[in-house]
Amino acid sequence: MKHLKLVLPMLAFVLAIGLSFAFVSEDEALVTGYYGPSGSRLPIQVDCDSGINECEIQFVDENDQPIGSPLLVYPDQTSMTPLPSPSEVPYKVH
Amino acid sequence: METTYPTPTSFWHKNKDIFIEIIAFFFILLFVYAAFNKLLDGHKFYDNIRNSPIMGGRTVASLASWFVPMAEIIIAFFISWRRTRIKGFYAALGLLLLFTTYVVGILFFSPYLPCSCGGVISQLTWNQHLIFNIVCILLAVWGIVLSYRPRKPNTIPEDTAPYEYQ
Repeated sequence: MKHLKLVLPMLAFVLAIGLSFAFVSEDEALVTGYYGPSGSRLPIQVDCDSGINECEIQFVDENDQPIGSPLLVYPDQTSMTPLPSPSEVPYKVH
Repeated sequence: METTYPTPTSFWHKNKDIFIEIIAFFFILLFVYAAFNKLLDGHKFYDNIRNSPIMGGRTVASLASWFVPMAEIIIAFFISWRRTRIKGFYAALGLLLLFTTYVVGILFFSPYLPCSCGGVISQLTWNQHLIFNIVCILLAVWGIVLSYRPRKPNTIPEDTAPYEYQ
């Protein structure tokens, strides 16, 4: 029991670090959307999987000031229907 | 004159060392996993707080993205050592209460529900997160209660409480 009390916390640390490395690349909650002019859109990870609003992003600078106007995010390069979003405000991107 | 106190003989008290070890193992696993997840994917955690409907703010996001994982690792270390374990349980309880307040804020006061991004636990909805947090809070309280250690029966003065912290 004495050895176990020493080994168990160490085991928990190792297991937790291993688990976090194993799952760190999973980005299932975010989806890949595309913004910009049709045909030459750029990909971006956004929190827009469902909702009644249109998915928008707003680029901001280091002082949190908006750069340009909000941009709609689409599911692919050519679609004209933006992704749905739960948020009424644009998703801030730095 | 000295008073002797009966030794608790219930199932929980007989096996309390085992239960404390299990609770400690669970919290170390939970906090270290959560901390490394945030540190390895720091920008995502920062962006989540930055875009949070009830927190936001660049300073808050910057502070939280370092403070939260560091606090989680320190608490895990505290729980690892037997001498500091009860302090670790108290700190875990405090952090869990803070996070539960945030989840309640998201669920009941937020204009919309953001994603609950972050590792395996991201699979949970906000409601499931709230239940998970409540279970963890109860577990932390149980850990604190079990960590009370009775003094040796024949060495306790009459005017002293029967139990003290470990």
